[in-house]
Amino acid sequence: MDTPNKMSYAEQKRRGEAIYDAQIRHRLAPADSAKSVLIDVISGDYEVDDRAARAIIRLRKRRPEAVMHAMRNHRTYVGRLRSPRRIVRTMQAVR
Amino acid sequence: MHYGTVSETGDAIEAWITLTLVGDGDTTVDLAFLIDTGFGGELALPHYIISRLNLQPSTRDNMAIALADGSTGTAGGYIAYIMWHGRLRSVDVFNLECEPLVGMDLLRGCNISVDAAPGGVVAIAELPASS
Repeated sequence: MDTPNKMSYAEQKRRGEAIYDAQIRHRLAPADSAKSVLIDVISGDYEVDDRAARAIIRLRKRRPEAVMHAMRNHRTYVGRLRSPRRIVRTMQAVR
Repeated sequence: MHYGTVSETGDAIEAWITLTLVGDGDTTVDLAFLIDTGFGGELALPHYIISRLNLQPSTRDNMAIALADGSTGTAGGYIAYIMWHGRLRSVDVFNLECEPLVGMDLLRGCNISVDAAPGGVVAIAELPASS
């Protein structure tokens, strides 16, 4: 896109999880662990919110060059697509 | 309340609703979304729509996705604004090359009803705040 991200996903994940474990996890209130935690893996800055989009907007405003990694429930957030029909169409589109 | 219809595609029926996306300069675009309860995010859009709406990247290129066959990959993350139950709401968008999808994170706190027959009514209402 207009601001291509040069960092690989593996490197983003490695940095994001390391920052989370070292600097963020112990500061979170128990009720916040189920919320979205967006981490700028460059600066270590982060935002917590019920909704990922709001955390992303606040962090982006403060850190325009952020490379963000999303965590939820102490794990890397993974978007899940479970419907098999969708898989077929997605794979056809990729081919 | 949001309304939509059940459409028949080949031998499958699908529940669709129309949402209003708010772009630059308060321009609005009405777009049909497939309701996908197997999708855990808020919205998914193919790239040609993301570029036409000039959506801003949120997490650059890296959102992890897991598909139903167990495979994993990454997708671009973007921010969009939609009208949702009469209010402007920011939503997290996955760039996936499929039909526009509404996932369960957007539907959190809502009641969905679907008359699951071709032409059937789809309705999404807000649950009372305590739910």
